[in-house]
Amino acid sequence: MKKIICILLFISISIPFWGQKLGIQAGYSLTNTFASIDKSSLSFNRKPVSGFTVGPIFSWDFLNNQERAFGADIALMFNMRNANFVITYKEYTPIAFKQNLYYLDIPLHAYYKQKIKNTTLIMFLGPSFNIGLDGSNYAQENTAIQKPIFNSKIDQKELFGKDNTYKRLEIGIDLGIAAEYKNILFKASYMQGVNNVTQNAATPYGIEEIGSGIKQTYMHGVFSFCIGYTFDLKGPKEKTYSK
Amino acid sequence: MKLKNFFFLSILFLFGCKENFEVWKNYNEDYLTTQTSEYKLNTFDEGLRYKIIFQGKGATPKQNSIVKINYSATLCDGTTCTSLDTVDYVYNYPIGVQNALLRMNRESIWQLCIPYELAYGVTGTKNTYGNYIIPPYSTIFIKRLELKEVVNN
Repeated sequence: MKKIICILLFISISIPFWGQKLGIQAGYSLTNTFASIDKSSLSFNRKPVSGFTVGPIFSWDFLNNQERAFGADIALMFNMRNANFVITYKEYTPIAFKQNLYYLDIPLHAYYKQKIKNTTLIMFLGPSFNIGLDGSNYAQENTAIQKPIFNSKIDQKELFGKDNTYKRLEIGIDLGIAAEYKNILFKASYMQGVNNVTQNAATPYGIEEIGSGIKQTYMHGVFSFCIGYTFDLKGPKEKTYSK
Repeated sequence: MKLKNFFFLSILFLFGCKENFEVWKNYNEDYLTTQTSEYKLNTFDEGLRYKIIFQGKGATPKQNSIVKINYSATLCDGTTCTSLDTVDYVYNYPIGVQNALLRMNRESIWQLCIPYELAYGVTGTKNTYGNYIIPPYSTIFIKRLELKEVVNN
């Protein structure tokens, strides 16, 4: 797994040196967590939660005429994803579960550009390889006094990794639409994780009765709204001087 | 690792994340105040609240003494923990209990209200599953702490 991550990072860092355009983008993300557990008496009440995303994007056109273009881009996006849901199980006091996860998202897109007057409309689609960096979660009783149940940050417990709660690599499908006007980029996208990232949770969400080894599912769906600025890496166009 | 932690903490600060368990912490601070006034407890300099129910006349333990105690402890949500004839070194108990034991005579009975700084602090204490037995910021009210035996080393 470490070799795959290193190769992906190497590719994502080195290839952009041949890119035509560099963009820096930042914005707001809204994460919806799809969690389930193989216990019919356990239910999740999910809420989408805000986060942020920031990072560079490199792109290059393969087929380009004045009106339209096909190309590819790659980005390195630092993404903060949050989760917030209330869990009810049998006669237990409902549990409010909150989570902050930090990912490095590496989306690879194929795109189509259509120029409309002074604006370029871009549609893109492709896989996203997301690497879990760090995170914390905590649970408390969903009551007026919010009695704590556990807190991984206080325990300094790692959430990602081979023997920890979540798998480090998440694979997703990323699609969206953007508009570029005078080098300013407005972008909206949605990334849906396709692999289950949970593993080895000893007592899921602090409910001891459930125990370990129970089948769980945990996936992310992330809406992002970004604003960015693009730079042409091929240098300025040749100046022509009038006589 | 320190740089990574600093970076993440900076991000959290920028987004104004509220401290975890703030509501629980506030409830415990109120619980300390109400128990002190309801049971008319006195206060030592370090913040430990106490009342002497019965003054014994036997030996006073030292830090490395072995003591046998009975106690019944309550959290602000009503969770209770009762222990009879517990035998251990004085230094193995929370700071607030140690401070009381070092001032008690054998066969004394005291009432205590221990602020979280003198109890289990900001980390609490956990079971083998990682769930809290005593959560962080917990005030502990001991309605009856009885010092039964003292073995001074």
